[in-house]
Amino acid sequence: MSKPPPRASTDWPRVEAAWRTAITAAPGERGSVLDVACGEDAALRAQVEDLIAADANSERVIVEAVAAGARLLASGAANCRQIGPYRLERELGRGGTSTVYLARSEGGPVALKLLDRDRLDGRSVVARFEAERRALSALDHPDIARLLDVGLAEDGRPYVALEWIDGLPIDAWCNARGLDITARVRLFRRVCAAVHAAHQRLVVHRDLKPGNVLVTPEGAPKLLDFGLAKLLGDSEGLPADPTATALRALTPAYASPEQVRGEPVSTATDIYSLGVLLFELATGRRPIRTEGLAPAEVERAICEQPPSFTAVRLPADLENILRMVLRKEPERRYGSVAQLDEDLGRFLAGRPVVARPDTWAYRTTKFVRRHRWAVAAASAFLALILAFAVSLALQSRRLARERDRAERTAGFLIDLFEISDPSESRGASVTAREMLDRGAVRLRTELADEPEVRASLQETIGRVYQNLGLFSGAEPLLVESLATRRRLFPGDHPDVASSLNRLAVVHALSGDYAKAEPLFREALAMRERLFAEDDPLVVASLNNLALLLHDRGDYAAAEPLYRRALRLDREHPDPDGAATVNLGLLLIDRGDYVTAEALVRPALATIRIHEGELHSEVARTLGFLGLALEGQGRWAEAEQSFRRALEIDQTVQKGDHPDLARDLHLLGALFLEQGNLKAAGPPLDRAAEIRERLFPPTHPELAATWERQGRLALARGGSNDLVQAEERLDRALAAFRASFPAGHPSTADALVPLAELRLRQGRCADARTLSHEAVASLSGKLRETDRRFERAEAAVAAASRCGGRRNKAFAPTLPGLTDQNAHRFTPH
Amino acid sequence: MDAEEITQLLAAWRGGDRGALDRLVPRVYGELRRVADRYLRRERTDHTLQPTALVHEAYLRLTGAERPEWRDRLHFYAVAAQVMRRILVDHARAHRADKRGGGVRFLPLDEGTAAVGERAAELIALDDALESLAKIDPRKARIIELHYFAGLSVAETAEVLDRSISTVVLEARLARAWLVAALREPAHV
Repeated sequence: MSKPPPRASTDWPRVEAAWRTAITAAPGERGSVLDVACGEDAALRAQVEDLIAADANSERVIVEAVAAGARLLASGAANCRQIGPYRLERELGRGGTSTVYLARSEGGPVALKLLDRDRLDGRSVVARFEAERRALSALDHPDIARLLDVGLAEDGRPYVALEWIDGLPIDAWCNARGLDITARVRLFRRVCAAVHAAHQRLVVHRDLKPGNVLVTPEGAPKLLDFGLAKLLGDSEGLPADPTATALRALTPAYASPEQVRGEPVSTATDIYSLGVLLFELATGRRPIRTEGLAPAEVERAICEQPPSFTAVRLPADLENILRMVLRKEPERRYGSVAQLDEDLGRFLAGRPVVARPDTWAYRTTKFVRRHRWAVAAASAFLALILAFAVSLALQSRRLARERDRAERTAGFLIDLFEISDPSESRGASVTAREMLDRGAVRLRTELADEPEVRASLQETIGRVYQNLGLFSGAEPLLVESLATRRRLFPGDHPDVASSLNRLAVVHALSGDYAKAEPLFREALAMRERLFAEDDPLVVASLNNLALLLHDRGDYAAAEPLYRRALRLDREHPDPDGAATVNLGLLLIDRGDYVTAEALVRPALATIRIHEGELHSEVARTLGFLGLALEGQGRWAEAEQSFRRALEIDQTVQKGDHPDLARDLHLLGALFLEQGNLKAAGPPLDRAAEIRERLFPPTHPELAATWERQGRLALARGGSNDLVQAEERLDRALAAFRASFPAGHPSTADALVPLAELRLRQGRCADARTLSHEAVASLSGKLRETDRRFERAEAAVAAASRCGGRRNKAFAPTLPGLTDQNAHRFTPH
Repeated sequence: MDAEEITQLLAAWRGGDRGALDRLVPRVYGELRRVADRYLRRERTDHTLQPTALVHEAYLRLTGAERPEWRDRLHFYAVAAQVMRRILVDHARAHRADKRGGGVRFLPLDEGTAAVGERAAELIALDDALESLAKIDPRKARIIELHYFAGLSVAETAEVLDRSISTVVLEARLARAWLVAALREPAHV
């Protein structure tokens, strides 16, 4: 129903009169006013309505048209100018800080980019340009437009001459050809390849967007302006203008959060911009709306607003890829453009992609991490938060009766408490302990009428006790939580399974395998009935049961469970890599180092993709890889692996940290294993120092380091050394005895070298007692062929031969123990 | 010398001397082009370059007046508005003609920057619509010219056209609406 346009033939004064009447009436009354003013004249009425409809934005339309003409004039004024060896032909476009002309040189057409401002100090800019130019000239890639020349125009403005590309922006090209999503992704992968090639030459683009990715009529992408954003944007001569943020020079819609915040950019920045570009190619929209926002709002939107996938229809894998590329934290995007490229290849081939969605737990943790200072600052604050969280939980139960809200509250609390976990934050464990005790007491009295919330909070607090290594505190809470939930939810229920799992973890960590096993099995069976077989919770239960059997030395039963967990996992990449890594450890324990290595290496690669190189999880996995290599006698590679882990943790951990101690311990233990006694001392001492400071004196990891120190002293063999060995091994044994119930296999780790020491000292009776206890603590838990078992048996044999003859040396040439403390239960 | 001459020409034109206008226009034109060129050299022009600023600067340079006689300025602007419109539109048309046959080649920079060709089309369409408006209501077309091409305020426009301010406000509104409606229906022009 198109209306007739305004026509000169219509009686203009009548139109004007009717319009005046209508426009001065209130909007709601215009209809009736027009009825009177126009009568039966439909044409007149249509015209007036057209005019009214055109009223709203008319000012802007006129002003912009005139301004557009003025800009065109201004660009024309620059024509016919000579800049350096180039003759400007015409303006091609204009940006925030520069204008691009088609220019001609003797060699043919070039795109000449001329900076608008002459505020730059031309000479220093040119000097810097020259250095950059050499780097950029090295970018000899068929899909990257070449940088030809830089220089100064007569008036002092710097210019850059680039290879002239006759093409369309990639988005326009795709639309013009009507490409489908597959073809678009394929073309985009060529862009990725070019960007990756530049990254390998250490050139970051910094300003990727459709206008900088042209496609030639032959369908070849060409990247423009590589490195120019740095060249033009960072010039030192640029006056500091606080209002002119980096945003102005950039193109906000494609800028990464770190760019708009003015933080250092890296290859991850380009990865983000590529993500925006891909999003736009795939959906026709931008992931984050920035149009019409003030600069501060744009900055906030880019830094905080998640990409919007509502109202776009994408294949799930492509969506996951985009979510990963567009993560706010640079270190959580793909580690390189090549990895993004490969994942897109997997997507095109219909294979599972590596990218996976953020978990709710991750986001919550991140929230708490951001507020870590406040939480760690004062226990009073913590107590306040606890009180708040409890009342919040109550409120949400009473008001909304929404189970998931209560759960969220509890989850929030969990994360708060985890801050006090010694592996999360140092030194706060005492106050955290006090607060936990208070919380446990309060729960006993305050939430009697809300059993569900109480059970949830009991589990939470129990979990924190567990994370602090305070198993005795955890157990009663978890037992009660489980009992409550069984009562509330008879039969299969996720919460019951969760309680079962949690309680079993505590039993297992306490070394009480007999109590743990049936709980793990029940949790697994329940989850298998409740969830799909590849559900992460099922996988976690498989892992935990396997680890229990593993710890007990029942490798034959453990391995198929791990493998089941892994196979099921493959559809959704291993949620936290626990099963993969644990199976690797199992293989290490079993002496199958080659298979272990084959398993850990791809797990390491996956973790690197998800977390980036500088991440504690990468360091931890490098530790496992090192153990696999150490077992194969590949000392140099093992050392390299441990050292790299150490480097990473030294970078990511501030100050002393348990992870740092672990890396030092592994390195020192490697040297000890090699017989390099001189090198083994310092890292072991340092590991002990950190663990002594961070852990209670009964902590098994600390005991493990003491045990290595003891063995080192024993190997040195001097009389002073033996005194030191005795002291260390005694402490280690005491710690193991304190933290594990009698008969725990870990006790043998200290018992065996201590028996060796007693043999040295000629204390045959003691040696016999100790070695027998070692064998007893291992038998039934380890297979007879286990190296630890063999070692203990050898000690028994040596002790039995020790017939009171003094100084009968017992050569400590037995295979080294592996590190039990590296095992991980999945706390889901 | 020059400034004085300009002032005299303006006075003569005000006095009804059509020849004065003919001599005035080329000078105004030349000065506007020079001002535009300097603007381009001096600063980023995409946001700041407004034709009204050009007209104002051209006027100051031509008359050399620090406090020019008010009526002179109005008459200068009345001339400059037409000249400015002519300059802009002629250039846009020439540009568009130039583009024909050259094929579409473009190398856009940042978003929000219309390709050069689109700018030309916008202004040409407005000029055409303004031409049509002038046929049915010359005074409203003139209001648009004075206010938007030369930057005269509503009060100054009212002064030049010898109408009340409220009339100019309302007529400008109608003129804008008419133009926008016309731009939406390009077939009619």
